[in-house]
Formats: sequence, structure tokens, C-alpha cells
Amino acid sequence: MESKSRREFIISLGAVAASAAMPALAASEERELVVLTAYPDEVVARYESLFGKAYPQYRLKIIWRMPFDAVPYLEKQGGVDVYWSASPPAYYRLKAKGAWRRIGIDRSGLPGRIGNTLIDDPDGYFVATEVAAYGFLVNPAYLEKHELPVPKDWGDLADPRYFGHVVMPTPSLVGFAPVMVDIPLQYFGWERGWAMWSAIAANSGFVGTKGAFITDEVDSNKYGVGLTIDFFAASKIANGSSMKFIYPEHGGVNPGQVAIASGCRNPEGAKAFVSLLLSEKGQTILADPDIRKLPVRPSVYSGLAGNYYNPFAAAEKGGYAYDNDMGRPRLALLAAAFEQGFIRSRDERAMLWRELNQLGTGAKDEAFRLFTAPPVSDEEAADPALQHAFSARGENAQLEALAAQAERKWADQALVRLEKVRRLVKA
Amino acid sequence: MRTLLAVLAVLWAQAAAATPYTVPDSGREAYSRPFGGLTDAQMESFYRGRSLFNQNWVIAPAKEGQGLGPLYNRLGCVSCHPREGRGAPPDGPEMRMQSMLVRISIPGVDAHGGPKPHPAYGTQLNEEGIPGVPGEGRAMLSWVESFVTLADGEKIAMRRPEINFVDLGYGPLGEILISPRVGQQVYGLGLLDAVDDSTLEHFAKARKPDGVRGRVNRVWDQEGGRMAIGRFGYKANVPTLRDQIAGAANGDIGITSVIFPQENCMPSQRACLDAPSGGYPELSAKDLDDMAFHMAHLAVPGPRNTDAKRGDALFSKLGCALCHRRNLVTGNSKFPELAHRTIHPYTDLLIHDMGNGLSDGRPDYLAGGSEWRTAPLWGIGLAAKINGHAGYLHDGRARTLSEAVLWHGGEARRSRDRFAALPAEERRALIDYLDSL
Repeated sequence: MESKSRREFIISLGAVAASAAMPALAASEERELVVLTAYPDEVVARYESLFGKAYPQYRLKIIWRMPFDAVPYLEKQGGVDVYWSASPPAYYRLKAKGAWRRIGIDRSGLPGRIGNTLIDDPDGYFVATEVAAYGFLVNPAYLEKHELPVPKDWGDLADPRYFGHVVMPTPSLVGFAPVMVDIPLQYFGWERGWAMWSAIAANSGFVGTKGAFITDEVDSNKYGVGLTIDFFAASKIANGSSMKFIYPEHGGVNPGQVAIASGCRNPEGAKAFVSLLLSEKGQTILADPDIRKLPVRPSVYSGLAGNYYNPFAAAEKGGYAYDNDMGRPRLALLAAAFEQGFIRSRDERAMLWRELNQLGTGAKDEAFRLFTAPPVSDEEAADPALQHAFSARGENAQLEALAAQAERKWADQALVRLEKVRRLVKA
Repeated sequence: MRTLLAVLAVLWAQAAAATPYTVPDSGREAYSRPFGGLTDAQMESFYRGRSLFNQNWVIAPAKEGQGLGPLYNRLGCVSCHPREGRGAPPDGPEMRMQSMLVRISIPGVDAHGGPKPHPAYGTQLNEEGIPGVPGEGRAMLSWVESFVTLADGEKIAMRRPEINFVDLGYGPLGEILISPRVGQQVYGLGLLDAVDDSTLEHFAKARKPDGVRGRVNRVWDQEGGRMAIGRFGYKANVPTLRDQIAGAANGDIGITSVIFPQENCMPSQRACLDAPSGGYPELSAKDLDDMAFHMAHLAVPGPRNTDAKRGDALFSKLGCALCHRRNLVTGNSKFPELAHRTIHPYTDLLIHDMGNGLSDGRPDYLAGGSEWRTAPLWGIGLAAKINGHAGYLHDGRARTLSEAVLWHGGEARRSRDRFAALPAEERRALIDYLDSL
């Protein structure tokens, strides 16, 4: 019985195999479109499916690369038609090297900026396809249990009452975090902004890229507040979590963008792909509970759930004065300074922060000044050579040496300041 | 000795109580939760494993996650097991297989009695290749529709897939055997891994009514280098969780490991053999340990509607529970929290003849073309909610649980016929019960 049915099956498949020797017309006419991306499967699979249905004449081939690996790959390898990723520095860096051709599609209905944040390239070499906004993921039950207020803005989290109740990403490890560091620095100025970060860092635990997510740590009641970018949190909430996401009064967004390679072999297919990403349908996919990014086409918001966050509306009220053009060159430097100033000695800093807040007024003022001093000076952070050393440190030994030298200096300075704080605290 | 056993029993009971394996969650995260009560160190391992599960692998050389391909189906585990759940078949030939693949072989057996690889394509059609390595081709799926009329006159639409191959990269396929498969849910696997072989052999030997038989599949244990009882895969063709993980990493993504140290290239695939590698192994022993820990400790959604007593009774009365066994007891495990626990997976892990309607005509070790492992039903009621589609059975053909039941044949024919003869209200009660699992 078994062998008979098996024989029949083989015979029927023999016919299939014979037809396979002559590829189907539709399939043989497919033209390959190679897209390099860093988006996760939840995002890519949905667009693959949509693109396949809308443009069956193109065969989409996805190559995945983390942003830090994408730039060298694009520089050295040919064969990529489209780059699609949430990594603005990569787009600007490759634009300077002539890696892109102008997008050349109808961009009506796409403002290209949110508040002060430019999300499209003004020269038309790349465009935003989505944005994500920074803020605070909170566990209301946890906050209530610990009698903590819901934070409304960055400065709230510098309050020592939040000690041990906050978790944040390590800026040197987590790709979206350097912009987050820059946001309060721009809004509140160098000294005050770093003072906030110094206190927030002392209040916080940190996560990297391989272990628990911010959402895990807050959802599991390990912490009450997590600093993050909204889509991780919004996706959790859309999938049933009781956590809440707070957009701070001083906000910032990070765009995901798309560019067509100057050596693109399939420009029509590439334009079709970009057009699909920016279409009403393509933009609506962003609201999927597993994605939860923010559309860049404002008209889409009217069709989304009433509580779907609209950054364009928030920007009209002044919520997005963050200037990403100004911040971009220094992001890698800021992440490195944060690491040296706040993370390397985090256990000791946390202990001193706790003791410092119990001091009397006089000693406390000086200790507080030392504790919250910027880990890097404004002048150093504005030095283009040093900025370049950090943003391109992997490219050659000279840049690496320059960056490492600066890091050692900042680490030493941080240790000296901590020692002084320790003496004041122990005195 | 008796004292020692008593002490061990107490310790196992304590470990079980401290680490519940079900989660009271009916949301879309319900397949992704860890066991309760894991230590911080265990949670770190769980999270590392989860990161690897969710990771997209990249073409070597790269700073992280290198080693994709040279031939592959998808970029990462999560592609075929979204949200730790089930994959879906394409709607039609215009769509790519995004969470499905096609196993292929030629008549005969390999050195261990498993499917005989196709000389040019191996045992699986890898649709994709890294740049410079041609993909093996494309499997286009079409649906053939039919109807089943139940005793009360209700007509149920059914469908079965037909596969056509195009754009073949390595010459004609010739006479081949094929089996399309969608990704399966991956929670609770550590507990199934911990069920003793002797338990399964006992189930196989036990006399059952209604012509139900069931037998163990005996398959090659790649890590152990021996034949072993199979328990994972749609035909119970993989013996251990570690073999399952490493085998899928190698076969589906092209990732080498200590268990599968060779790239997935056939000898005639020169470009594949010459392609850059991410090293040997690309998945380190530590990574494999973390992935195994993650999947071994993915908790099972707890039952949600304890009022489904009528469906529960029908489940027994129709004979479903003969194969979809409610209770199993785990044996020893390297993870104490998995050992000696009574679990409710609704499977016997045996292979059963399911009739010609489900036959793929492709034997896999002892499992004939029509033999399939009893699918675990725990958590099945959340599949549609979590994955946005149902797609039951090995090729995702069943769009509803009713369709899935109606595809049962062979040893399950009597149960299927009893279901088809039920009044609509009772059929609904049974489906409600399955939805509550």
C-alpha cells in the first residue's frame, strides 16, 4: 500500500521535474533586486510579501548586515541595488563617497522633516521610510508599588528617588542609544545635559545587545522605567503588555531611510521598491503590532488607531526641536565618552551617588558638581578630527590610536573626579 | 538507595514547583515566555539564546553573526518560527516560501537508513545563495481545492498543495521525492526532549482500540553518532533538541556547528564549496548551548478555558486522546527543572499512518510516506492569534482545526469519521476545547 502510493507520487513528481527543466515563463522573466538591510524579519518579511504581490516581475533578494558592517560591505562589494536601514550616519557617509543615485520618485505628501529633525536628504539621495521616537517605557504597577511618579521628561529621571529603578541601553553597544544621549545635551546645554546623564546613569542598570532587552527588564518588574526607542515598547504594548510608553516633553526621532546605489543594476525595480515603502499601503504596514514604527507620510495617521502616536502633530506643538544634523558627527564620540565617564566605573558611581545624596548641603554641592561634570569637554566634542576618529575608528590604526588616547584621558579624568567625590563623601 | 530516591523525588518536586512550565498568558507573547523561576544566570542564557534565535545571519566576513549560507532558505530561525510559533505556506505561486521549505530526496536510503540525498541538491531545496552562489531554485506552491460534506450537510472547503520547481540552479531534478514543511512552534521542546525512550517504547507496545498502532521512529543521532529514537520533526526524524537546532541551522541557514561542521554544499556545487565561510563552527559550542537552553525553557501557554468540559469528553470519546495523549512524564534531564514532571502535551511522540490524503510519499527512516508524528496540541489554540494565520498540519494546508481533523485518515480514520458525524454543536464544542489548549 505504502509502496504503491509512493510510486504514484514519484510518477506525478516526475512530470513536475520534467516541467522544471523548462523554467516557467513568469519566473524566468524575474529580474533580481538586491536589498541590503538591517531590519529584522518582522519588518522585512511583510514588505517582501507586499512587494512580491505588487511587482511579481522582480525577485527580491535580501542581504542582511548590521549597520556597522553595512558601510564596509557597500564600499567593497558591488551588487547591492538598495540600502534600507535605520542608520543615518551610514547614509551620509556613503553619500559623501558618491555611493547613491538620486531617488527620483514622486515625494509629494512627504514633508522630509519632523520639527527640526531632517529625515530626508535635502539633496534627494535618500529618503526616510519610517521614524522611531525616544522615550520612557514604564511599568505602572512597579512605579505605584515603589511610590514613584511617572517621569515626564529627562530631568525627572535624575531624581535620586529613581535610584535602582531605571534601566537604559549602553550607548557604545546599542545602535539607537547615541542619539538618545545627544537629545538632552542639545535641549538643556552641555553642562546641564551631562549632569542629567550623570545622575540618570547612576540611577540606572544597563543592557547591551545579547542579553535581556529593556522591555524584558521593565516587564519582569526588575526595573520600573526603561529608556528606549518607542517601537520595541509599542510592539510589546500592542501585543498585550500593560506597560506604558511616555514620550518626553523634549523629544527626538531617529529615521530609517532608503537609498538606491549609484551602481544599481535594476533602477526601475529599485524605484518600485522605494515607492512601495512610501506608499499609503507600505506606510500602513508600519502600524503592524509586530513593527510599530512611525509613518513618514502624515496622511496615513488618520487611518490608524486614535491613540497611535503622531510625531508630526507633536512637532507642531514644539516637541521635536532636536537637530539631528548637528548631532550626527559627534554621536560616536558621545557614546565613547559616556562609556568612559559613567559605565566603566558604574558600580562605584552608583554607591557614591547614593551616599552623596545623603550628605549635608555644603559638602554635597561640591561633590555633586564633581559627580555631574561632563565626561568630555564641549570643545573636545566639537573637534572634527576627534569626531572623525570615533566615527571611523575601525578604518585605520591612526584613527583607532587617536580615539583610544582620548578614551584613556576621559577614563583617567573620571577616576580623578570620582576619587575627589569619594573623599568628600567620606569626610 | 530508597532514601536517595526519596530525596531525589523531593528535589525534583521542589524544582518543578519553583519553575512552572506553563504561563498564564493568552496574548501574542504566550509562545515566547521563559519558564517561571529561572535564576539570573539561567535567564542570561535564555536571553542569549533568544538573541541567536532572532538573529539574522550575515555573509562572511562580518563582525558579528557571520556564516550565512553559502546556500540557505532564510536568514534566521525566527523567519520560519515567527514569535516562536508556526510558519505559513504561500497563498499561491506568486508568493515566495517565507516560512516554509521543501525537503527533497531520491528513492533509496542513505548510510543510516534516512532519506537518500539528491546528488545535486541534497535533502532540501535551498532557494537562496549568497552572492556568487546560485540558489538551488524556487518551489512554487499552488492549492488544489476540494470539499468534504459532513453528516449534517455542512460543506467544508479543503485544500492540498502542489509544488512546481522553477529556476533550477543545478540541473534537472529528475525523479525525486518531496515533502513541503512549514516551521513548527518551538515552545515546550525541552520537556519533550526529556521524555524517556522507554516511555515511548511502552506507548508503542501498548494495545490500542480502533486500529490505532503507533511506533517509534529510529533515526540517526548526529551528535551521539548512533541510532536513536526520533521525537522532533513532523516525522519524528530527529532524536534530540540539540540535533534539531543544529540541523535546522545547517540545513535552513547554512550555519556550521560542532554537530554539523560541514557547509551544506553538495560535491558538485563548486561555487558553494569555494564560497567564503564564517569559520568552523559558525555557531560556537557556547552559542549552541544557549540556543538549546532558550528553546528547552520556552514555557507552554497554560490552558485558558477550563469550562470546555464537553469538548474534553468528546476528545476522549472520539478517540483523539489515543494518540494525542494528555499526559506524559519526563525522565532524567541535564536541566533539573525539566526532569520528572507530568506534562500535558497532547502527543505520544509516535509516528502513525495518517492515510493517503496526508501522504507525502517520502519515507524518512522508518516513517513511511503516510506516517507522521502525533502533533503536540498544547498551545495550539493560540496559533492563529500569535501568528496571524492558522496553517495546521505539516504543510499548513489546514486553515482551521476542523480541516485539520478532517484530513486525518489511516489509523485516525475512525476518529475523523466520528467527528464528521457529530452535530455542529458538538463539533464546535470539540474545536472550542482544542482552542482552549
